[in-house]
Formats: sequence, structure tokens, C-alpha cells
Amino acid sequence: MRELIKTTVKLLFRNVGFWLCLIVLPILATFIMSIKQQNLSYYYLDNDDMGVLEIADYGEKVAYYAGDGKFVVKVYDACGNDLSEYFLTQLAGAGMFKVGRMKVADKAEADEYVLSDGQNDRMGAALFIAPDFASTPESFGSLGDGITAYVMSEDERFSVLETKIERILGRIADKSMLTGSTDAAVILTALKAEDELLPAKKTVSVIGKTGNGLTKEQIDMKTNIGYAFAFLTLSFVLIGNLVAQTVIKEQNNDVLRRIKLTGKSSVSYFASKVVICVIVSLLIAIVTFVCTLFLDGEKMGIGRLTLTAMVFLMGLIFCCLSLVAGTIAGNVMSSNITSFTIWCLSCMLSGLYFPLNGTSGTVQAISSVMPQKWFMEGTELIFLGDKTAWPMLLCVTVAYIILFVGFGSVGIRMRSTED
Amino acid sequence: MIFYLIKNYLKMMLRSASNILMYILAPTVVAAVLTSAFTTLMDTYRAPSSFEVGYRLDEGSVFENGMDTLKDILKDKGVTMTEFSEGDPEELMNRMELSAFVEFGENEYLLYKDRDARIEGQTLEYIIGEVCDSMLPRFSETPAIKVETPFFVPAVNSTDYYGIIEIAYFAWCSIICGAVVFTAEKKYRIGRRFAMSGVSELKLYISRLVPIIIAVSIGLALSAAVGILFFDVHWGNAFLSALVVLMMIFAATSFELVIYNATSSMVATVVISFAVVWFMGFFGGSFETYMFSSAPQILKDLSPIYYGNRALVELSCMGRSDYVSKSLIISGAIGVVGSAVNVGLLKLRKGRS
Amino acid sequence: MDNNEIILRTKDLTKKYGSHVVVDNLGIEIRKGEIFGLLGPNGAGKSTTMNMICNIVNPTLGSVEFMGKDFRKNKKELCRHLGFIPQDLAIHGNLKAWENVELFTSLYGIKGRELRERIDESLEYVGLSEKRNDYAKTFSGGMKRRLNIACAIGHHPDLLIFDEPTVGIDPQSRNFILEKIKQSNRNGATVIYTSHYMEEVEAICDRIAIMDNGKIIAIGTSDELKKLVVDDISTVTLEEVFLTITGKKLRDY
Repeated sequence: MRELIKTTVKLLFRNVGFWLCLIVLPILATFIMSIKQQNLSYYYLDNDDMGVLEIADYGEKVAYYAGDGKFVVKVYDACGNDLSEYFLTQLAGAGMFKVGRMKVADKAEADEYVLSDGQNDRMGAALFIAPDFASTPESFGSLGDGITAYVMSEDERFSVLETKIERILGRIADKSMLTGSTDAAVILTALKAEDELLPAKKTVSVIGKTGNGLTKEQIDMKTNIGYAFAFLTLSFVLIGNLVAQTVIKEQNNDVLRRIKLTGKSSVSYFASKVVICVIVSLLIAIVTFVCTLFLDGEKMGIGRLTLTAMVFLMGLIFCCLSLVAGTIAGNVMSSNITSFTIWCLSCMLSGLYFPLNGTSGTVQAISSVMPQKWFMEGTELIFLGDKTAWPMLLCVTVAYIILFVGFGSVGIRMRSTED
Repeated sequence: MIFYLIKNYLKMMLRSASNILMYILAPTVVAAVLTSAFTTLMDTYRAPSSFEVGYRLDEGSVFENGMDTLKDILKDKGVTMTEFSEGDPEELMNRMELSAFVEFGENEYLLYKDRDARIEGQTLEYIIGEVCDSMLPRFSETPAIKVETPFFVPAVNSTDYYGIIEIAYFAWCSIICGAVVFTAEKKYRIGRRFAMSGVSELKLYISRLVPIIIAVSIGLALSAAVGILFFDVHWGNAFLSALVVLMMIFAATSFELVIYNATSSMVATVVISFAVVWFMGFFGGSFETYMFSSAPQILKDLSPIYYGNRALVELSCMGRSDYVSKSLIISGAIGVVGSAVNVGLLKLRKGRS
Repeated sequence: MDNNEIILRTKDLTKKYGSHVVVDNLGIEIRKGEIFGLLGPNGAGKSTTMNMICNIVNPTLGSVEFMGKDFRKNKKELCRHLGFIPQDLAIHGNLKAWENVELFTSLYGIKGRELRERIDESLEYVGLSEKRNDYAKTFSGGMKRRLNIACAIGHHPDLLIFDEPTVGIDPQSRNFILEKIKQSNRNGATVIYTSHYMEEVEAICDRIAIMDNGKIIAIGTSDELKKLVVDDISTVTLEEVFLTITGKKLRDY
């Protein structure tokens, strides 16, 4: 068996593709982990203290705000005085709206942006606050003229927004009338005094049955790790495929027959290929570890050795899977296509790119079969400090390997019988 | 001459089971998974149907007198309030399947919102807020605001989006259709027969390009039909949509044949093509929608798939799109340039042998 | 062209791969209507020579004149007069027998009814008419070789080049192929034939050339070649002549 292993390793080392998978893909995976994600997790931690979100420039889209289901309102603010600030804060605090504000000079600029928003962004409504909103004595007589609302969707909550805006403006108008003043500071003081009379509101976000208790930062890190796992899975699958190709070629050019004539059984032959998978997984894990030395450990969210160990276990699973699938496929072309299909489907169905919590039962059931899903669960448990993570990962790894190696042996036996 | 080449290549491609599976089943399966994953995000708002909320009222709370009124108002909106005088609110929420829980204190209220029932929590928060606001006296007339309705692209739901986008994505994987045929051709060195016959490089290239386009078009048309019939996918302008997809197939085939003719290896072609198309699709909105994707706009603009995706989605929800012409031009340019490069590579290879 | 006319002539035909000279200033003349045998050890340059003749490979130096015209300058016109039967099978397994013949015959511009007639004719010629609707991948080795021939003769070439057409097949199939070659020749085709089976070459070829190290080292009829080695030609076989001329040393190319 040692000679078989040595020969296969030599064949692999002479293959340029092997070195690309061993070095380049782990580097890309580590690079992905270092990118700061603007998280699009749809289980966005509901932080009601967020208030009005500031939009620095037009390139920033508000479509991202829609993750928690709130009605997104993009505000083009040409005013910026204290009362417009109060108005927006009240709107943002109502509980149903997510408010983003961008400063503009005038309505013409706002109209131009709104026209572009209609095609390039997604929101419930846009607002324009005029420069003279609640700033001149005349403006208090017709506060409504200082606000223009743009309907930007077919969402029925636009009428709720309209009602809320008019109610807030009504309060401002009332205070102006009651205080007999058009001075913003005076009106604001009166409004805040009235606010003190109302019951104070506090909100708490509760993890539901399907929730996970991760913080926003952890969700960001988990997203990065998910993408990194996707690259690493590709590396494992391709290398497993290269090992499978040695089997295919040895079968095709009758080298396998020579090997069997020496008295070696199919089992020991196949076992030698599985050992190669172990060696290769270890190599990739080591390369990944070395790459992570260039990353800020804190930003990774997970210890380097922990990550390396997870990469090793995942490598065992996918190398074996790819080896088995490729061997059963029987020719180089089919084994390549099989490898890619395994990679594409497993990454997508395991929730590496986007969470599957909201998907149908069928999809979630299929997702449970994907090995990466368990590694993402393990990552979550590690983030939460749950000690059951490692026993779970080890059990999962052993289970999958037994399954794939078992299938592989049966497949190879069947193929030998056909021949 | 070329007719028979095209005919026989097409026969071989259509006789391959993997081609049928790839182009009919794969877009359907992938679209189904992605549709399911993004349903919540992309669905248009639907007011929640009735839901149950727990509450606890502290003694001496300002809400004590108005509690019945509050409950009636909420009942009208479909919200049932049930009192729980004991128990941890979070535990009660999980155990009793409550969408939210409110603790009414002396002059404050603490609202527990379930992350899995966000809309319900938001609705409750808003209503309680409005009820509190309504306690304040009103003196002046409510000012009316100006409302304008500019043009906007209507929201598209996940079924339509992914039912269409995945067709476009697999259009870009067209080389798979010819992979088995070209591999066999290389294995049996059938190229010698072509070289001997004096068939021109242009004819040889066209005889490979056309059957791939036809075979992939047939497969994807069947997949689109499955989507329309069984999943109610709406395509909008059928002619323009078909044209956009056809041009994408042309561009993809041309591009991937360049890789094949440059590398002479179908394995390398498949690997490189899949990788390039995956990245283009990733930035172009084939997995996460282009509306919600956080990828920089410049990366989206560099992806030819982005233009096709936008054109198709906008045709679906609006019946027209400014991206149709962009998509056709970009796909056409890739196809034409790719074709020229292919013919050049074939000539170069012949000259070198 | 009359029967003593030269149908194919190579002048200083040379092929180099880097510094390695595979074919070295080859000059041969093939007469119209003859069956010309080309023998040589492995690596002698036979296949490269035939590839150059068939326009599959470009020569480094020299030229090929076919039917009195420079081949490279008149490629398109002259290609249709040439048929090549390669040693390894050049057929599509996923096409039926008739589809393979249609594909490769149509490359020479034949179409429509004429093409259909040629397909029937070719399959009849190689004895595969009854298997026309079967996929080539289901054929036995001998049947595949016959189909390989059918794919090369549909356009009625004047010159047929057979590159070891009887490798790995049973004696019945081999005999069938040899008979068909002789029949093609009787029908007016000129044939260039290569093989390592000396008895085949001796049986069917009018003239034989022995090639080694990229050059022709002996050429003539079977008897003429034997006379180069012994006086009494009945005491020696062509194989013995071949080994004497080329030597018994192994060729590790």
C-alpha cells in the first residue's frame, strides 16, 4: 500500500491543477474572510436605537434596509434644521419604517435621484424635505408644503406613512400655535415636553425557534466563513477528482490489472486512495492555517486552529465524496462535471451563500444532507461557546466518510463485475 | 456541407442524456431552491393575518384604564391580546407561540418582538405608538402633504425572478452541451478528416456553434415552459426575452469555444468556463438578486450576465427595459469577437501542425 | 491520366520537429492505378509522410504534387480526390453507421440525393448495409474498421491511403478488407498501403518502398527487393528482406 500511496502522490504533485487547488484556492478563501461584508443577513438584529440612517452618497442603496421587513423610506433632506431632524426621528421611531437620509440642495436634485431610484434601487417611498420647511413663519401655516412624498412601490403601507407624516406635522403645527412661536427651539422644547408625557417605549428582540442568538458582527463573520468554505469545498472537490482520475486512468490503461496481479485486493487499492484524501486534506488545512496567519485573528471570529481543524474534517468528507463520485462516473469528463455539480449544489443547498431558515421544509430537509450545513452549524455553536460543536462535527465527519467509502467500495465492485 | 455537419452534431448533442438533464432540470431545481430561500425578502408586503400577543399589566400602569380600548382597537386589526400575569416573556413567547409580548409598566412599556415574526412585531409597535399618540390633544388641522408618483420598476417576486434568471445562467453554461461530442472527436482524432477535406475554419466553427445554440435553446425553452406551466413564472415580452436569451447563448458558446480552441482541453474549458460564469453570475444577480446584492456597481457592470438579467426581469415586471439593447449589444459583441478569435485560433493551430 | 502517369509526386519532402528530422528530403512517385506499399520500422516517418500527403500536417520543406498540381496551392480542389483511412478509428460512436458516412462524405460538398446514394453505396461496399441504423459504438472491432473505410470512400477518391487498416481484427475481416482494396484498385483507385504484416503487403502491392530514418532506402516490386538481398528469391521472405535492409536493432522512438 505504501508504494501505491507514494505513486499516487507523485502523480498528483506532477499535476499543475493540484497545486492550483492546494495553494490558490485556500488563499482566495482566506482573502474572502478578510473582506468586510456589508451584511445582507435577513435576520438582521433589530436595533430600534438605529434612528435615522445617514446615506453618505448616492451609490449606497437602501434596498439593503429591507431585510427586516420594514417599510423603507429614503429621505432627500434639503433642510437639516432641528425640526426636520425631529420629524425624521419620530418617523424612524414609529416601529414600521426604516429611514435613510441623504442631504441634497434642492428639489431638482431630489427629483433626479428619485427618477434613478425608481430603476436602480428598491424602497417603499422617498421623501423630499424642502429647504424652508418649518423655518419661516409662513411655512408653519402650510407645513405640508414642505414635504413631498414619492410613491416608489405598490406597498399598501404608503398610506400608513402618509398618515404618520401628517400626524407628526400636525403636532408641530399644534405646538407652534400653542406657543405662539415660529422659533424652532421653542417648538422643539414644547414637543419634547409633550413626548415626556407619553409612556416610554423599549423594545427587545427575541430569538425565535429558528433563531440563533448571534450578534450582527458574528453574523458577518459567519457569512465570510461561509464563502471561505465554498472556495475550500471547491478545492477539496477538485483534488478529490484528480485522485479519482488516477483511478480512472489506472483502470483504463490496465495498470489496475497489474496491481491486482500482485495480489493486492480492490479494498486495499481503494484504501490507498482514501489515505491520499487524508494526506491532501491535511495539506490544504496546513496551507489554510498559514494563510490565516496574515489575518487579524479577532476579525475572523474563530480561532485559527479551530478553523484549520474544521477545514481538515471538511476536506476528508469532500475529497472522499469526490473520489467516490469520480470513480463511479468512470471517465475524466464525467468526473469533472460530477465534481462541479457536487460543489455547486452542495454550497447552494447548505446555506453558504444565503440562509435557508425561511425556505420550505423540503429544501431544509435536503439541506440537512449537505455536509457544509453541519459545519456552518458547528461554526455557530463555536461562536456561542457551545461545547457540543466538536463532538457533532466529528460524528458528522465519520458518518459521511463511512457512507461515501461504503458506496465507493460497492461502486467499484460493481464496475469490476461489469468488466 | 455545413448543413450535414450541423445536423449530425445536433443529433449527437440531443442524444446525450446529460444535456437533457442539464438544461431542463438544472434551471428548474436551482430556481426552486433560490425562490424558496428569497421568498420572504422579495415578496411584496402582505398585512399579517390575525396573530396572538401576550401582555402583562403592572399595577398602577397608565394603560390600566385604557386597556380594554386598546384591546378592542387591536382586535379590529386582527391582534388578540392575552394576559399572562406570570412567567418569563421570552419563554412564554416560545411556548405559547406568541408573536410578541408587552409588559405595560407605570409609565412605560417593554415590547418583546420575535425575530421570526417581524411584521407582526412592527405592526403591534406601530399601533400601540399610535394609540399613545392619540391620547394627545389636537388643535389644528392635519396638514396634507404633496404626493408624487414617479416611474419605478415594480417589485418582482422570487418565483418570477429566479424562474427567469436561472434560465439565463444556464444559457451561459452552453459548452457542456458540446463537451461529450468534442471530447470524443478529440479522442478519435476526427479532426484529421476535417483537415483532409479542406473544410474552412469558418465553416468548422459555425458547424460547432450553431448546433450548440440550437440544442441549448431547446433545453432552456423546455425548462422555461416547465416554469410557466407548473410554477407560474411570468416572462413578459416573449419575443424580446427569447432574443436576449438567444444572444446570451451565442455569446457564451463563442466565448467558451475560444477557451476550448486555446487550451485544446475540454476539462480545462469546463473548469475555466464554470469558474468565470459563476463569478459573472454572482455579481450579475444569478444567486443573490442584483437589487439586494452588496457587490460594487462596477463589478456588476463588468458582468455581461447582469445586463441580461436586468433586461429579462424588467421585461417580466414592466414589459419593457432599457437594458434589452445593452444586453443584446454586449452579447453580440462577445459573440462576434469570440467568433473571430475562434477562427483565428483554428487557423493558427492548423498552421502550426 | 493514363496508367503510367504519376498521380502523386513528392519533392524534397521534409518534416522537422525542432532539430529532430522525421522525414528527410523524401522523393517518391506513385503511378496511377497501382497499389503502393510503404514499409518501415516504428518511427521511420511513414505516418508523418502520409499526414503531409493528406494535408493534415504542413511540411517544413518540399512539396507534394497531386494529379499534376501543387497540393498546397490547389488544396480545396484536390482534397476531394483523396481518401484516408487512418489506423485508429475516426468515427463517432454516438452516430449511426449511415450518419457517420453522411457526415464525412458531406464534407466534400456532396449533398441531397447524390449523398444518399453514396451512403448506401459505401455501406454496401463494406458489407454494413444491414447495420446502417445501428450506433457505431455497438459495432465489433472489425465492423468499426469497415465503417472507418466507408467514411473515407463515399466521395469516390482517386487516391486511397490505408494506414494499417487490419490491426487487431480477425482473419475474416482482414481478408474482407484486402479484397475490397483490390476491388477499389480494379475500379480505378490508386492505393498507398502501409502495414507491419508483410504477407499482406506482398499479397496486394505492386510496388513497395522501405523507409527508415525518414528516407526511402529501397523501392521496387517484391521480387526486386528480394533480389537486393539474395539471388534466389524463393529462399527468402519479404520480412527477412525487411530485417536485412533495416537491421534488427530496436527503434526506441
